Amino acid sequence: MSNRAQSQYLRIFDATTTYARWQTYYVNQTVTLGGASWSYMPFSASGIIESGASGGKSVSITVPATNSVVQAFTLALSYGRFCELKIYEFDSRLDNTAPQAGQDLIASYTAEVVDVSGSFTRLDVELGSSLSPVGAQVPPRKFTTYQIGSPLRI
Amino acid sequence: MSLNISDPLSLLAYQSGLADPPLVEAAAQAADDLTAQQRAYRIGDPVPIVFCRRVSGNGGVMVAPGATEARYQNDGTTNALTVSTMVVLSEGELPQIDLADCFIGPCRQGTWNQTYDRRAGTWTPGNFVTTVADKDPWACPYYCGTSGRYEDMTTMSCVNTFVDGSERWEHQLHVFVRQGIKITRIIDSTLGPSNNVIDLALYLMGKSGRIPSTLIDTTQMLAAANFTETNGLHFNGVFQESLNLDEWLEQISNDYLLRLVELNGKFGFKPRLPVNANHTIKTTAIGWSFTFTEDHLLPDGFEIQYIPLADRIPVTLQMMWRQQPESDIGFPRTTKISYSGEATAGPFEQYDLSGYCTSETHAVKVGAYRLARRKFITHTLRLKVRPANYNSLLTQGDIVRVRLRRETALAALDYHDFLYEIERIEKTASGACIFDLTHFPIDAQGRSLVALQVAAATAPGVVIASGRSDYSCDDNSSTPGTAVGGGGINFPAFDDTPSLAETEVEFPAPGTPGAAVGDTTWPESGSSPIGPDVSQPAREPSGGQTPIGGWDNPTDPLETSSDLPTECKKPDETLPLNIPYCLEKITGPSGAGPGGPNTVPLVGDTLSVSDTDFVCAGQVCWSKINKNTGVETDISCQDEPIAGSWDLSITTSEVDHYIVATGRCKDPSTPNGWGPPQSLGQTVAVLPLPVYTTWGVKFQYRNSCTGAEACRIQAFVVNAKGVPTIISTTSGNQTCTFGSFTVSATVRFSDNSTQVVTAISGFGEHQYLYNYEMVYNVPDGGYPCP
Repeated sequence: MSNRAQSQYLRIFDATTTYARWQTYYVNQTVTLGGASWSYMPFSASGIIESGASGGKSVSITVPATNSVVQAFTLALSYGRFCELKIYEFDSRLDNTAPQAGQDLIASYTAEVVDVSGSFTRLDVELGSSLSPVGAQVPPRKFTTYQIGSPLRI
Repeated sequence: MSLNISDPLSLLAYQSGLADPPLVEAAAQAADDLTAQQRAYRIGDPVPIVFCRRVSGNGGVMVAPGATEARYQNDGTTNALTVSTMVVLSEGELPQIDLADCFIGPCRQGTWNQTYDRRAGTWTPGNFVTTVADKDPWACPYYCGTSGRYEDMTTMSCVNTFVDGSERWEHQLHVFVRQGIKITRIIDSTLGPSNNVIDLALYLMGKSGRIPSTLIDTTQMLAAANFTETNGLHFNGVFQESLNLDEWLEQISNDYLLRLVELNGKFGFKPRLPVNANHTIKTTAIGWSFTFTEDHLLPDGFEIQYIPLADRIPVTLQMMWRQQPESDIGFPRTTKISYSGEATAGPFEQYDLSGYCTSETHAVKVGAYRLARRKFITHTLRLKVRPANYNSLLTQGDIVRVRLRRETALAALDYHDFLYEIERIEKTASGACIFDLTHFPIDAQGRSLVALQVAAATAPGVVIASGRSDYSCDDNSSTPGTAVGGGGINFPAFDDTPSLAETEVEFPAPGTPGAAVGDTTWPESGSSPIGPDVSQPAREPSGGQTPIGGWDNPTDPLETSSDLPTECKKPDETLPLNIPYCLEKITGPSGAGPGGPNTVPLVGDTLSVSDTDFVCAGQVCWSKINKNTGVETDISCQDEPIAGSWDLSITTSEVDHYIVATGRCKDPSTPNGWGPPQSLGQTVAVLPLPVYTTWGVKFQYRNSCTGAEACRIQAFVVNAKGVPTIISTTSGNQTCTFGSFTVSATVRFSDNSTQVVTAISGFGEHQYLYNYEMVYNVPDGGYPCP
């Protein structure tokens, strides 16, 4: 019988501030991990993919559309905040009430909130980068009137 | 928006660059025409980026910059034409160019100036050409430019005079840039030119604004930069064609034996070959990080895909690169790569690296890598395994061993036993892991076959002549050592140079002083609609708090509720079932009731629903509900209004029934052609036509002196007032004395009106009432009790 358990942690943050810390394993509990408090939020995350192929590297998170969650992800989208998803693995026989000190971080994914959709009761949040296969052209700068005036016409 | 589709294993070969299609068969990127007409930049063109660094006699790039300003002026006597051209060389700042590296067409000519962040040269743009007698006039452009800011750009000016009749006056300018734009190199953290493709990738990622620095894996980037530097894979090119950054990163990584990876959400590059600690290609035995066996596989967890024949057949690769002489114009070259005796007559696949590759060894190694992968890698694998400690051990690019026992006969055990490179890891929410693996072929000593092939690949190393036979057109020395001038004009160069205010509209950020949008709630999707936010308008169906002011939505006749409005649900106290009613859109009752006059239908009335009240083209059905049993019975339906209304004539069969009107609008989308029912109203129970004096009061009274009893039934007027009840009585004196007396009753009707009914009244004989009751079917005028 497997004693392997996995817990998921989700954090919304920017360069200076962390706006939300949620975990989805310890039901109705606020637990402490890494010196920070993580409140319970019943979200579910798709698998984390590590790949070199273009596209398909995003992670989807489904969260209940409570007011606080809607606000958190709306602001994350407006301000380009980051979202970090971490998955820890541990032996559920040792302690199932709080994060264990020796648990393994088996996956971590940090990305921007790039898309939010869903229903009135559920939000599907896509984490990825805005390095889209469409747009994001380089070289990034283009010749403008301010830069070159009305240029020579041959 | 993203679309999630299944990811067939057969795509892995293409996703991982195993079988990427060759580039379009076309001329090499480096094969510019030297004597083409000078091109001009147009508004909206990408600003080119010259990225190169000439090291040990290799590198640098020949740039054919576009012009933005020009001046044309001829001599009034000789007709010699002086052409002044202002070109933008690159975004960013370039080190000073040597005069020997500046060309008009193929010739070193002209007076050159180079500057940064401003306009080069001090001449005024314009066409000042005049017609000289006996000379052919010059056909120079008339729109010569107005100059601009040239912010963060390196600009150059070239002035040269051409003799009368010269056809070279409009030749394209060329500049050989040995040192490209200055950036902070990742390897030595020094500001200066670079030829490391990782530096360029980081520069573009930063400039694009699409990838925050938080999402860049600098450790991986540094390792990749060291790999390309150590193995001589350098970038010397002009980046000027608009491309998608993601696509470019994918494509360029293949040509530098790198792969773009995204680990933990962070972008980085990893070498496609095993490497030693000193970043050289590893050609010794390869170790592996984990061995997968049957113990780890989940049911149906093994999927194999062999590389298709089309991507395995022998080919000859034609690798195009650019030979860049020390003091001459570079030119593209090809180096053919194939296995001996294979594909000598084709098929050929052409890979153009000439835009940025100036090393034949680089091109040969890339070709060797492509050829070796094609030769040795036979299949890809997808494993679905249960969670185990490799959850935290394995990452993309790691080498793993897959050893699975294949037991086809009792004494015939065999193994699927190969090494693989992890291309993709999916850690699912259920805990299961899916590994996409690419065959990692090794020899008997455990060495990577592909790495051996690439490490052993060397270039012929022959420098061939450029083919130029005449240098007589050179006016300037071909010996480096003389830098071009630095003359230029600060912004604004001229009166007609547009200013920033003339070309830009900048809004104050929302919520800041002076902003048209002062609202600071925009990140949360703005504010709620204006209006009180606590009460709910009457008769609206939704619960909860809503903005005050109600909904301004127009009425949809197809969506009207069939429930009676709350305000109409006044109980009829006279009715046994106490069914609420509301006439709503029904008109025509003539009787009075608790609701007032003209609220009770009587036999003989015609009830109507006007087409001004029920506005859609539709049907009105009438039904009746028995007031005692509640049984509902259809009466009739009328499919269209007649004379402006839907009508029902009340007969005696509707007495003691509530009349209900129900409307349905036409709706061709429904099977019966009618939309959902809408309540148009309901009446109280129908009363029969009033029969006067049908009701009466039976008075029984007694003489208080003699004890004689008498009885009289007294009728009273009953019309449309409804069912009467006695609410009070009076009587004479019960003692045997003389006096006046009256025996009467007060009757109240259903509309609360009253009427006094008197049996007798007089003076002298004392009568008093000892019993009374309502009686029915009393003739007009009444009668003595039987």
